[in-house]
Amino acid sequence: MVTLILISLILYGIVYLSPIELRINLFMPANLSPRMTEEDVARFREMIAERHHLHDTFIIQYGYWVKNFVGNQWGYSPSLHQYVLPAIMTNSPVTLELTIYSLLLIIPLSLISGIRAGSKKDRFPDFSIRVLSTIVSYTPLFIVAYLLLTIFYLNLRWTTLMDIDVSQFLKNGTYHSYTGMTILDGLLNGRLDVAVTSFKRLVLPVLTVTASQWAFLSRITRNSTIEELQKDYITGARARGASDRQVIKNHVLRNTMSVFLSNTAMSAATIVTGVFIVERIFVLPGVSEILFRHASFVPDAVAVIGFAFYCVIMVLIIMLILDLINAAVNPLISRDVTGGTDVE
Amino acid sequence: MSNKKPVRAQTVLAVTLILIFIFVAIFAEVIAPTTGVLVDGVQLAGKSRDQVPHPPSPNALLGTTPSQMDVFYALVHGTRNALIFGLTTTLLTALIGLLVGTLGGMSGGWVNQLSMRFTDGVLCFPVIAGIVFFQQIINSIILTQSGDPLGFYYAPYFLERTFLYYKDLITTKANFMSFIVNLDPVMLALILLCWVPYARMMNVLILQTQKMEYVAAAQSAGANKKRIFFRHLLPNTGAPLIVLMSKDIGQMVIWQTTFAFVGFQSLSTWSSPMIISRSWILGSGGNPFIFWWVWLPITLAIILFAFAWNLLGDEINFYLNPKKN
Repeated sequence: MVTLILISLILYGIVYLSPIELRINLFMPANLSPRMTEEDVARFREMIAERHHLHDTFIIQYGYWVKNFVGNQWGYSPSLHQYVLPAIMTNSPVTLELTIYSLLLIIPLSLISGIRAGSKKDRFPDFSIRVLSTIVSYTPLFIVAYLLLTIFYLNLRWTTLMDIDVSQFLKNGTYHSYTGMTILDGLLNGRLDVAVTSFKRLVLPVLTVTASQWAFLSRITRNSTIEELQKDYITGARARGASDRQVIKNHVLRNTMSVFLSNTAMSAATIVTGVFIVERIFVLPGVSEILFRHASFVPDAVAVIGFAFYCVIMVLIIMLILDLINAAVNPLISRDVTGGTDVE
Repeated sequence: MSNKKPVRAQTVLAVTLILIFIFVAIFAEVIAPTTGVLVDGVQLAGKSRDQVPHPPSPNALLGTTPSQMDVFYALVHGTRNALIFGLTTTLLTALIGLLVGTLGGMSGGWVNQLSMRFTDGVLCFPVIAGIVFFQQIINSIILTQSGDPLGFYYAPYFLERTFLYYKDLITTKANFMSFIVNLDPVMLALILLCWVPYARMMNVLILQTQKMEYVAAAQSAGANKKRIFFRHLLPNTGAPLIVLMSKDIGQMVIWQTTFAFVGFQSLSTWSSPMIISRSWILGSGGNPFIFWWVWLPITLAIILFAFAWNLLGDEINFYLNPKKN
């Protein structure tokens, strides 16, 4: 909470740097009446500045912004011509879908490949995974995306780039939007075709986000697996006759998992950034679309702070979920959390 | 690391690659002299009307993109751009991280708490939101100062307009404005948002090192905080910092090319040919290697660049604490 207030204060402080004339321009209607004289226009601009408190001091402006943010659906954005929260909400299911599926894919994939590489150190699985992850992690995301597109869309024709338009079905009343996420909604409505099409649409973006994170996270898992395998208790377990499988399942997995999860939580912001970049590359109508369609050249404080807030909240939620999983997996941490001691 | 030879092949590889990059950056003008018009930092090797990429020829050694950007020129001059961007960004990032982490670690108590909470806050802030933010602020300042506040509504011509303003501003307005115009929103956001790992690491290391006996000994011998920091703490915490920095340089350049490709204003000479030929990367008929020259050489350069710096980081790590390996 303190974090959010601090961030919003700093953001608003930077916005305050942008000149008043420009911020008045934002509120100006696109076509002024030609009969307005220059004096009229000047008076009109003054009126706008008065109404939106643009001449006030920083603290007062910030106060008004907070008031609008809390009481008025995150405030009115002149460049979006609507309130920020509804604008974000209409587009957020796509972003959420992408994020959730990517996380669901990233976590098992990096864990499995990392542990496999670590337990077969310097042999073929380790070598191949290391080479692949090295190449993937140094390749720019858009090249990865385009190569995936070439393979799965242009050559194999498994995926699609068409956005599914459910507004027709919504009008008929045969389809209900429960979550806004098309795959889930399709399944809930019993419309397999909708679910399958939107699945095909999302596969490649999800794979791209996953690829960008997998390389880094599997390397971390590999290193912690190697470290873990050298510890004394593993030797002890081996001496008592535990097989490789048992050692990995009962000892290594749990210990590496907590390292892995805390690392994933740390890079949650990178994952969100990756999600937005992938949205742009694949032209998905997610939250970033709002920003690029309306606001990219217009310094619209309200919309940008709204977007930043959305990002921060998303990152915090991802971190929270990962920490909760971590606490469930690792008894050491859950004891600390319930005991009220400092985890760090 | 499996290799236990006294001189490691990896070290030679990393150092050679980086020296090649530096060499190319320094002698860029000799290797690929600028003779024609520059667009987005890349020289044209033909009429920009020509929208078909042409294969390698003596005129353009690695072919051209649509609009006839010279790929070889971009490759050579992009090295300079990438080195400058990577080094500047990483150095400033590390500096901020060092300051914040050290401030917290040295003062302890509530200052440490506050600075670490602030660090956590920055950690939650995605770079992309920061870039959007800075881009808008910079644009707003440029456009108002340049006296045509409505100019930015012609978004497609924005970059050219910025360039025109820039030329006017140098002759008419103060240096401050040319500084603002030169600011790169991507660089700014990366600098201001990516210092968290440095700060955290410095903080932990300083807190740990301060508890060491030799620091206590120095304290009892009457050394002041400044002396302890420069004589004992910094030398003992600097090594991981340098490793992290070396690994970051490549990553920063990858970020820059990606953000430039997505559409943020950042002059990345390596990515401008790829941006302009984005629909040719997919190739016709699904074979990306038909027009390989528009993307492959530069992508390989980026991969090698990031790989070299990362390897260098690993090697520095190896030589600085051989115990651990």
